[in-house]
Amino acid sequence: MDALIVYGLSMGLVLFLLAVGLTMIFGMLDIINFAHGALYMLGAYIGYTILRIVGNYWIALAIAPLIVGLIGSLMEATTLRPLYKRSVLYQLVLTYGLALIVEDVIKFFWGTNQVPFDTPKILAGSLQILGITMPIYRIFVIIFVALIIGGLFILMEKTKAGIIIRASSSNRSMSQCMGISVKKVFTGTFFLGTAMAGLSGVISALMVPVNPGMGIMIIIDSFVVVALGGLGSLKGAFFAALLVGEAQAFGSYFFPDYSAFSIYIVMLIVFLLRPQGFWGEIRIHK
Amino acid sequence: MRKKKSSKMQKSKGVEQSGSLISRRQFLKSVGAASVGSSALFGRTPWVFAQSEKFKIGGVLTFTGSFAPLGVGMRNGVLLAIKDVGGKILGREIELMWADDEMKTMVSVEKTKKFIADKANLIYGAVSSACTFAISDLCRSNKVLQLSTISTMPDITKKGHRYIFRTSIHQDAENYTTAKAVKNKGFKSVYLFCHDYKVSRDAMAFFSDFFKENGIKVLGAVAYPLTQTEFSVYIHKAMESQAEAICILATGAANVNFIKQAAHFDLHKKAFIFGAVLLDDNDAAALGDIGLGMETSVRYSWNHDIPTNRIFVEKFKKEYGRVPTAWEGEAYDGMMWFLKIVRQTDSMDVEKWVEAFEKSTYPESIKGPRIMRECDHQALQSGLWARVVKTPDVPFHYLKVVNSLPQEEIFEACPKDPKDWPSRRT
Repeated sequence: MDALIVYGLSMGLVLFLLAVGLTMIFGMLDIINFAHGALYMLGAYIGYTILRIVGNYWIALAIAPLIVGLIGSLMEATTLRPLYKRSVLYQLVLTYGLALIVEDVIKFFWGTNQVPFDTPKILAGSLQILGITMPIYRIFVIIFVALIIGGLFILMEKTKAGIIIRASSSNRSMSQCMGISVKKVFTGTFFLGTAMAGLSGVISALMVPVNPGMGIMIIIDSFVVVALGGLGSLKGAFFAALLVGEAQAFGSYFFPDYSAFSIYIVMLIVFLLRPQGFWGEIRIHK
Repeated sequence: MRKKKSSKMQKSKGVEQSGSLISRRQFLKSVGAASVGSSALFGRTPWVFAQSEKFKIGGVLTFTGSFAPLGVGMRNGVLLAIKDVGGKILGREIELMWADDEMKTMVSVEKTKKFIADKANLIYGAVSSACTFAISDLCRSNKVLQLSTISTMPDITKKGHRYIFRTSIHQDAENYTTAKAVKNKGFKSVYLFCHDYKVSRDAMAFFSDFFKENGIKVLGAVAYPLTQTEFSVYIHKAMESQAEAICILATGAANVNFIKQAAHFDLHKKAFIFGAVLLDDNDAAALGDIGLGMETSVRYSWNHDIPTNRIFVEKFKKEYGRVPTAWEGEAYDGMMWFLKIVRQTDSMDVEKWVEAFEKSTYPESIKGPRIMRECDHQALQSGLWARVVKTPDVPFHYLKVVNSLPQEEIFEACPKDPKDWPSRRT
């Protein structure tokens, strides 16, 4: 049982890492970014190339998310910005189109076959902790995601940049009157959100195959976490990811052939009780 | 009254030309005269014009999603085969038409309908067994020959019909290959994993019975969804059982996913991991050292050391700068076999192709001499068993063929009464 709780925790934190960029962009910019999975995949591929050039996973982990973030912010500035005042449908279609373009770019540069992504020696193997076999990689993920959560909390709640982001998100025109360049804030937020997608790509590359289908595999799970948490709520996404992780762990153990249902049963119960998710608001579009 | 009717008929049959009406007969006469005239002028006969019609192949494959490498690989194999025959068959230029079925049965049916409407002479595909099965009835009712070089569902040929041919191995034969290859490996207990779909579950039932019959304890069996990406709890269960071997009967990139996570638990060091179609060469290269020693049945291997294969591999390397995958090799082999049949019949009659194909042998195959079974249009082949190795002469980890089982040991016999043959269904 203890082992299941620990595995569920690590699964939940991996899910949170996948979903954090998506929820951040939605929460601040009101954009459902369908290209999130493709950017996650791009992060893994760029990480692979850096790894091949420099032979160091940690350098790949540091640089690839920055490159993905830059690509993401370029996408925002050139394609999304003109659509902010239009219906949300335009943004959905655009980000879906961008996802297809990114996927084709990956196929063009890296081909359709999967690429090797070896686990660095320091993260290979497992440890026995209180009788539980715990992969070192999973321990790393737990610590790393905890640091990310801490970092994001400090950024959003304790820094001036965080106050500016929140202000621009809640009242664009007032923020502009206060001399804040909302355009730059949005581009910066998009940079952060897509860099998180790239980061999760490089981290996940050690446990999933790196191929042109890897983005599709995570996008549904990411949306489940974002929706359960309440659209745009980081806190909600965190708790939703943990809940889904634990549901998946216990479901896989006790009902292995029907484990996929466990997530959707959780979804059903949560949406029956709280249709807006854990920390979401009910929005009425007029 | 009669005059009026006749003029009406003339009008309805006529072809309007510069405001006046001419009869169909007049029109055909003038077209005929013009074509004979132009033949005389340019030294060509009308027969040559008929021959300039194209030979159309409609490829319904998967080009997007995680199975895209299979579809792209199959296309590579076909392109090389077409290049090998000079891009022509029976004097006709071969026109290749490709469609992405997105691995959805409905899409594959729609794309096939379009190809049949475009008068495709051959439908090639699909990738997934479900799609291959879905388009099979369409080919049957339209009497268009369908060639499958990858789908593994046994029912594709076991419940097939006159117009479908499979040149690749099916799941039952791969199961027999795997069972016979691991029978004497010495492990006493096993944990089974498969994907939650019919072919995979059937394989699990087969192995479950096989291991029990051979005194090997089955300590657990799990069928996980096709979309599963997180395996830590399943791996934990297998480790808890202390099984000496892990048999994985899933397919595609999911196996790499499972093995990568299993390696984080050191499972690959504690148990012998094997499976029917566990890995292909690309998977072995992607896994690197953690895959070493794992064993799998393979449908085709670039290092299967026979003369026809050596020639093909060299040709493929020249074209693509690397060794072929199983899907590329099988696509090439199947297409070359089919084109050979068309050449032999010297006819565009699909019925003649069927009659020749179902009684054919193919000694030039890159898998060794092969026979097409008349009863179910299933091609026979040896069962190949391979191990992930790394050798100094090859710059990447790959699957080395370590055992080859005779074809009669891995395929079930045909029904004795020809009335029961699936190939007799028209």
